[in-house]
Amino acid sequence: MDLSFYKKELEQIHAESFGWALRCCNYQREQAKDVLQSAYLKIFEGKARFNHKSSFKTWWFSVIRHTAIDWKTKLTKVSSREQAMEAGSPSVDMNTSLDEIIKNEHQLVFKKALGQLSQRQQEVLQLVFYHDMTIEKAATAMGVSIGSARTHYKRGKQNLGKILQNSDLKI
Amino acid sequence: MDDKKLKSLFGELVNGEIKNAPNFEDMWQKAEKNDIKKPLFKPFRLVAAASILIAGSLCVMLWLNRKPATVQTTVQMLEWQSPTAGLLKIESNVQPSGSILEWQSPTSVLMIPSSIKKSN
Repeated sequence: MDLSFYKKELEQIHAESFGWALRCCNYQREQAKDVLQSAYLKIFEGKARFNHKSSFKTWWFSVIRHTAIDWKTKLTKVSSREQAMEAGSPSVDMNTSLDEIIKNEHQLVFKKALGQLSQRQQEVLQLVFYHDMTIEKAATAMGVSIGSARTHYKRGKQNLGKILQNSDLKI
Repeated sequence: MDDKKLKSLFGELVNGEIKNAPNFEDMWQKAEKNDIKKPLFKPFRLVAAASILIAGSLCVMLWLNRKPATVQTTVQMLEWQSPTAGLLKIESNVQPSGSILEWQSPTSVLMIPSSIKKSN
């Protein structure tokens, strides 16, 4: 498999990959950038090779996740999940319209609610609800069993519902 | 919990975050040039490899040095004599027959000969 194949495939899912890298790095932008860059390097070094056992996106997301784990263990650990979530909160400038402000506010509330879930629960929910993966595919990307992914999905959804019910953002 | 609402919330959140995603082409080229900061594990690996190499060569050196010592020990073992070996030799030279055969217990005089016992 040549590099042009990887380049073509990765270019299509670059933005999504960055979104996933952000999730894996607790929404720390700089770290997510470094992680994604390292993941790309793995392609050139031949450390990451697609083996057709799963879809390209699922395989690539698991590469990103493993790279993020490597970085997390080697670099300074985040002191608390909430701190990290707040660090990446959307900025609001003076020219933002009222709709935008409300939207940003919603995002902030939702982000905080997500921050109260476990890492695995956040991961499976993002993979399913944003990256349109099935729970089976999410399990592969996360490197856990399907049963485990199902449990994280179910509990994550329940917990998120409870948290959001008590917040300003009612679903 | 409404899945559609959850989907749109995730969409808003992640799309907002990836709006300013780094450029793919820049990242790809950077990776191609290997111009990337990485968590530095390589020095640790180098140190580990070097220490394994040193330890290995030390073991080989020690083993090689031990070989002649083993030969010497063998020679020494062959030449080794017990500290009491001299005594054993002396004993073998002594003629025990005379003195031991003629020896009598100092109390043998007090003993009554068996022929007298029978007559009584």
